[in-house]
Amino acid sequence: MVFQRGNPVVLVVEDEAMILLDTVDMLENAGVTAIEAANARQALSILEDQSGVDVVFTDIDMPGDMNGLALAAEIRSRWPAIPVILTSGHMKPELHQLPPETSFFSKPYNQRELLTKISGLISSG
Amino acid sequence: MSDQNDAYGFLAGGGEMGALMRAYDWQGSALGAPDGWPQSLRLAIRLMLHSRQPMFIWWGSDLIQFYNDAYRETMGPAMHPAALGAKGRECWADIWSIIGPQIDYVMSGRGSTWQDDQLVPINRHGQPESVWWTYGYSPIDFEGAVGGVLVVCSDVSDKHRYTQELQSRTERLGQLFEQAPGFIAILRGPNHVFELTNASYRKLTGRDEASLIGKPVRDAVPDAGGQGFFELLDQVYQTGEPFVGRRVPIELQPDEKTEAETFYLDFIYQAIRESDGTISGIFVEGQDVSDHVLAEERLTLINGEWQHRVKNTLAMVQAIANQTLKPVTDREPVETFEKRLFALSRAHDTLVQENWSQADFRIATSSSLSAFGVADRVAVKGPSVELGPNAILSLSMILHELTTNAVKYGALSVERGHVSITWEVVDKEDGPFLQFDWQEREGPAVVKPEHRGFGSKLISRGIDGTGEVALDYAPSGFAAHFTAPLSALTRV
Repeated sequence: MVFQRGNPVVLVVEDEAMILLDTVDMLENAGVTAIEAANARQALSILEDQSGVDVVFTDIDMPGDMNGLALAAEIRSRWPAIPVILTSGHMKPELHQLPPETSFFSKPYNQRELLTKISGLISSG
Repeated sequence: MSDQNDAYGFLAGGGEMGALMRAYDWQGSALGAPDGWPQSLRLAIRLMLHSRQPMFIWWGSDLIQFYNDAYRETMGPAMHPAALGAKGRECWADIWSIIGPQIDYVMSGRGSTWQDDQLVPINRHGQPESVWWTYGYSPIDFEGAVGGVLVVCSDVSDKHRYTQELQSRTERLGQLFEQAPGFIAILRGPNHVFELTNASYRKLTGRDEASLIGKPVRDAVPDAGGQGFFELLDQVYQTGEPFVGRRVPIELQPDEKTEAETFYLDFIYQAIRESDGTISGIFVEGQDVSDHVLAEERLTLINGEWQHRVKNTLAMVQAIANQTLKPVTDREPVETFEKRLFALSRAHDTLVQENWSQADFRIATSSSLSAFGVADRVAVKGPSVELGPNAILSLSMILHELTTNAVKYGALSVERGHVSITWEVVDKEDGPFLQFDWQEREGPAVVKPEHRGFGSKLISRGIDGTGEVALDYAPSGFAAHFTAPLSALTRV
């Protein structure tokens, strides 16, 4: 297991069920408590309802009125302490499009690198 | 003869016509012998005979005719020599309606005439021919009145036809300009005054000829202001350096009631130079490429959407594999699979970055190597070569397998080992070939593998399955040499 100090909580936002399932599975195997959200609105209401989310990992391209970039910007302003990691099948967005203090993984991503990133964010936070 | 010569002194010289006039039987004509001719006629004849300008004289009420060698050149056998000494009205009966009134005008003492570029048909060979003349009729005085008419003329038919041709050519050129699919305008002077516009130009600017011609561009097309175009015109006019614009957006609003519209233009501003080198205007020529630009934008959008779908699908394949292969206890093949999936994904990124239909092999190479963290131990050297999508995917996968092997067993598995990657395009008899070499150095002892897995099979099939491969397990280091016809590697 990667994490020593209790189970970190990661909110995974992904509209593609198969990818969501596999990512959550991988995180839980690594000792992470993973919460699932299928879109940005759902993710926001989870953040509003429960405290204790350590990291948000979100897809950018999702159906609905809010994509992952807008979600990240919202989180940066409302919960500035929660780091956001973005992912997309698109090429890495231009730097100015990424909200400050967010990281980016291009799909398909290396799960080990993602875990390393999450653990780095938690230990520095 | 000597007597006659003295009496006919004014007829001396004068070439063929001089000789004909001396030999002519004037005695039997109404004029009588030349020694009885009035002084003014003699003077005029002498002047005429010695001039190289075509000249002609009508004398007396019968309009008896004289002409010189230069004039004789303008006549055909149908007229010469019969016209010498003949009566004007009979000789020129067919064109009397043209010249008769002019001769009467001069003979009646009203002055002289001047005709510029006038059509006076001449019967040279039995048929009237169109001949254009510039000519003048002047009076020759005799006893206080007019005794005859001196004609000084030039056959200007060649010049006339040339001018005519030039005019019709200019008109044709004007028509071509007008109908050209591209827009064309000619601007004159430092204020860029419209001298010419064609239909495409007027359509683009939404204006008719009357609102453009004769007006400075700043007044005629004010809606193009503030977008840098006028300043460019100033610059071209001042420096003489042409300006070439590609895909330049311009917002035009010819009518305030309609909405402004954005066009994309490919165009050139070319200074017009006079023969002394000074700049007198600007030639504007170009194409409205708005449709192309919009199509490109749509294509980029579709390309991006499609890229996203492909990569999402790869992510789903990854998820399926992870879930399906979960019970497999030997994790190595699972990881190998995942790495190959990532290699494919990176090759795909390279193609999307480069517009999919082709990509630079150099960029694909560095992208393939980026995942291994061995950049400082791999020397990459080769020219930019644009290859098609199949070749890029194939080469990326081959590079992935070669690098994986080198990291596991080859030169990159030990600290001092290194690899050089080189390629070049070689011209062979049946066209250009890509020659691509992988060379390992200072690795551990080279062992030819007994078992051929997917990786070595992929390598031995060559680039996109089209080429030859030579694998060399030399003790100095493993090497792979690939050759494939460029035509196969560039196909889309």
